[in-house]
Amino acid sequence: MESYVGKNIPRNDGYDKATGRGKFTHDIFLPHMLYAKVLRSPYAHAKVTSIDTSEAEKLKGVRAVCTFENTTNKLFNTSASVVTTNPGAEPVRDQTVFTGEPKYIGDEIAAVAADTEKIAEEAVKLIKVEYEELPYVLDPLEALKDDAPDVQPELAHKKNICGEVIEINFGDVKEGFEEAEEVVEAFVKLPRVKQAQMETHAAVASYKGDGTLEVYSTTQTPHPTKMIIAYTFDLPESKVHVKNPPYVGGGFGVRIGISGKAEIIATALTLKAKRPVKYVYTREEDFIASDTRHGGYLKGRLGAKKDGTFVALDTTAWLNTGAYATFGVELLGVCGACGTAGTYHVPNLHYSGYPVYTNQQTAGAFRGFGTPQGTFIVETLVDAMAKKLGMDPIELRKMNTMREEDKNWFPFSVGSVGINECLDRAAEEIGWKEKRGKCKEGKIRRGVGIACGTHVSNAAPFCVDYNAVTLRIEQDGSMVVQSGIPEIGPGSTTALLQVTADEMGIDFDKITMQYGDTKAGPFDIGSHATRTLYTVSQVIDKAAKKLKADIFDYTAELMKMEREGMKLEGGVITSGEKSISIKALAYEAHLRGKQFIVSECLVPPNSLPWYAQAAEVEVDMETGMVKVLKVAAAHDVGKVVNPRLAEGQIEGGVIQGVGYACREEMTYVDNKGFYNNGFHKYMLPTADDVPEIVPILVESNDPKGIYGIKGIGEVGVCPTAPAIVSAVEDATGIRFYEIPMTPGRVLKAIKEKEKA
Amino acid sequence: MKYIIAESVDDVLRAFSENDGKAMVLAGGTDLVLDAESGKKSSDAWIDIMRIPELKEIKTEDNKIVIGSAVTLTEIARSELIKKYYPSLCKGAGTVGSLQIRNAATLTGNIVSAQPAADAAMALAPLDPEIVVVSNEGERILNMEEMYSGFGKSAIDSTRELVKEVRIHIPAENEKASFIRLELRKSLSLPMLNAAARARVENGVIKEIMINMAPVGVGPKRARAAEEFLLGKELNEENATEAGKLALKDANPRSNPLRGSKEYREETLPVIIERAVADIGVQLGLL
Repeated sequence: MESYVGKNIPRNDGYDKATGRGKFTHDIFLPHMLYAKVLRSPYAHAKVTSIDTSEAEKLKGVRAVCTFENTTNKLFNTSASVVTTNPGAEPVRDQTVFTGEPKYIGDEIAAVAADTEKIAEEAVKLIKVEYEELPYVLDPLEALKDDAPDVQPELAHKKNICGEVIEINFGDVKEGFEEAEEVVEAFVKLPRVKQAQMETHAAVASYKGDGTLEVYSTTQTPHPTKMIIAYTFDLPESKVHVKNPPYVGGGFGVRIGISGKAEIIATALTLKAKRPVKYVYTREEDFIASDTRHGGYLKGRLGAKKDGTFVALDTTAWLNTGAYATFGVELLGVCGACGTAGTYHVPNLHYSGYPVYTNQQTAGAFRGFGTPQGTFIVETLVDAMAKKLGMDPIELRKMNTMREEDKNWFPFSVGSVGINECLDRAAEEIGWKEKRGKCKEGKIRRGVGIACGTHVSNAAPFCVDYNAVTLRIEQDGSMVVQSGIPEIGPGSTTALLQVTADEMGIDFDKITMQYGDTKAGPFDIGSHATRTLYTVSQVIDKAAKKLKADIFDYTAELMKMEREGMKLEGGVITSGEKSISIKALAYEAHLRGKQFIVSECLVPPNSLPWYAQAAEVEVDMETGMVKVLKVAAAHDVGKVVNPRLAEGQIEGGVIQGVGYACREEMTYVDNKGFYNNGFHKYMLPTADDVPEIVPILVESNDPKGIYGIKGIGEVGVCPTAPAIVSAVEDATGIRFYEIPMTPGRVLKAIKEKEKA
Repeated sequence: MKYIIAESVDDVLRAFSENDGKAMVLAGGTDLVLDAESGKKSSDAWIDIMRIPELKEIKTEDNKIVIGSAVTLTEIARSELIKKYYPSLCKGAGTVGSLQIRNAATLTGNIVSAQPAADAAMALAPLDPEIVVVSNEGERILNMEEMYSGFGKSAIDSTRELVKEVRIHIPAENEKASFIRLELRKSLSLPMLNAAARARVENGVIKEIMINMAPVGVGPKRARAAEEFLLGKELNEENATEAGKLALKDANPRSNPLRGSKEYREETLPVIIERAVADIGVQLGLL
């Protein structure tokens, strides 16, 4: 029975967060705690020829100085990929805690722990370092040339290629193009953008006398973080305890694994100082020295029959993964799989993905994880094909989108497909028929555009993705759900209890979740890959069935009730005429030495969330200013668990997509590094800039999801940029192959068109 | 570090002499506190003027609008009195930073911090204000251009001088002002360009005009060539366009990695000047 699923239950963490009582890592203060500051490289590539920390160590209040000379140089990787790579493949391990050969401006050389932040800051300035500058490379296409400097000479797969070149093949792309009657091509350039989550990376690490290490952290994956710390410092995993306090100020993928390097650096310092160490990234450090979205280049060719049927698609991505891998390899895989091979039924597909090392800060996971990039090239090609064939872009899409019965490239079935309904409803909401392709004149022009796509609902079977929960009935019949997931903001820990309440037949307000802590539950990979609600509801379903069976068996025997047809609803166990409340039963059981408790573990299936977004824009032809007026965002989420939370996910994603399309971009200044050292120099949209967003929730009831659920976390951002680009083309007649469409770029293109 | 809460102008003047150049006026503090934190400005004491009753008023006096230097930008943006005469000043004041910043920041602070493209200062500039400055040496009255001594530099020594108030003449019936900004986002960003203008028009002919623009030099720069061209001419679209082109003669914009290249700014400056002039025509019902 669905009493809670589908309802706008207020989120459990709402009161604490709205009243400022919610505790985050920034709020953690422990007795005898020290503060850390980090010395970062001013060069894009250099060798440290000498380092002298003696003056820093002499400063009063300094308790520990760590450098690459006195700290482990064991190779690791800050991303969770290092502990979740499938058997048979080797994860890339190319980072150390500190380095004597910095590979980007911002790379970590040393760190200080002191009584106050100010002392730590002064001490960092007292560390004397001499560098020998080395040649560097900044652009991924440049980096692939034979004469380019090597970023990771010993660890690269081939010339500046990180891990491997990802290849996806389906059908025969050569034959496909021979069959094609029309072919379109495109080459696009995408920017590096930043997650800009509210809480900067932070950790408080405390190495205790009993040999255990406790780490408060902003991670969105407590268990993998624990494993990476234990691996790096050769500690038993059983002695490493990672927890959120319990809240995390956003993630968007930036801390799947280590938060920048916060936990690792705080640990190095606490191991030396034997006192708790707090390391909080400044906003500048967060911006210039932690993962971003991958920028880079993609090219593609799409072949179709004259009637519009797609027959071949060939795409290549060269993305800038920076100085270290983090998620470089996996992300290029998703870019190909979800971004290029997921949306349309194309019988002949090929994709090559190059994760390219450069001497810039790392790019890694950011909401969408490669799908926005792949979707951008594919949707560019589809619009071009519609134009070439003289077809309506929506009609062309609808005849080629994946169908339930199609065999796709994925190693799992297509599942339910709501993409055409998404296209229709987004189109209707934006006024497609009335507005698209209408003659545009004057200084201010309007246009509408659309884009669609898919993603995944977790990372299985592409990487290790499983989870476990423990469900327990307390002695008063209330219930505890224990899980290793975090709450990074989307409301997963509320939505999951809605599912649990319905699964168990116990009232929502009688159930509590323990989360955000490696001690809350056994292994769970955490919040990433649009998975938390989808996968944890799967294992809760499995555990709840077992728990109910245990309760019913016990009730049948103790209360002499008929086992057959026994139900638990609204906290009352009923069978035939007889009933007993779960509260009474739990206490009766307690008096007889029995508590109901189960643990279950599960590798989840996977389902494809579909989406289409339509945008309306206004372009000022004299200033190049693009204003997004409205985005109609239709998402096939399988089944809606909490409409308000689902809409919130979509709205947040759309706003990030609007920024990606029009404003956001990390700008590199040679010899100085990224210009964007904070919010003032990075044009993240503010609340005042948000366009009208109309979230449309489509329920296709996925056969694999519990209650039909699919994932939703990442998808809001995936099609927004190509939809806006399409709308700008409708308004101006100019197609942009590079984003963001800043006023400067747009005006330049308008002037060029006027000349031609 | 001392924090002095002044309750009168005399308190401020006393604090000046007692601290001899080491105490700085804090009029909102939204720039000063950040500059102090980053080490750009240092002083032994701050003199908070925000609780001085006589500086907190917006009033009319001797046919002038008087805005005290402790009036916040939010108060200006929402002032019925100012809206009645110069809605463009409400618009400019209402655009600075974000709401939270405007709730603390002041118009005089926006001038004295001397950012060329400060939106409130820009909207004020063509209104040809009298800026009243007091010190232990007495009182002096400066015009807008005299407030700036160089790029990002104020002519006011805020350890010895207090801007007391800003006086603006009440416009004639056929006199209107405009403010416009070219922005990357609506809050928390300096404009790529901004401009403001004021004109008195009789029988369709421009009798008096002032146009300012930024960031194209020191402070809100006068577009003198455009002004000279328009004076005595009809206020129409053609002349507004021509004035826009002429504005480039007084402008020397620089490139910024974020807020537009020199080329982009030169390309769009004529457009926003044209729009600022045309907006006056629209307000007067001429366009």
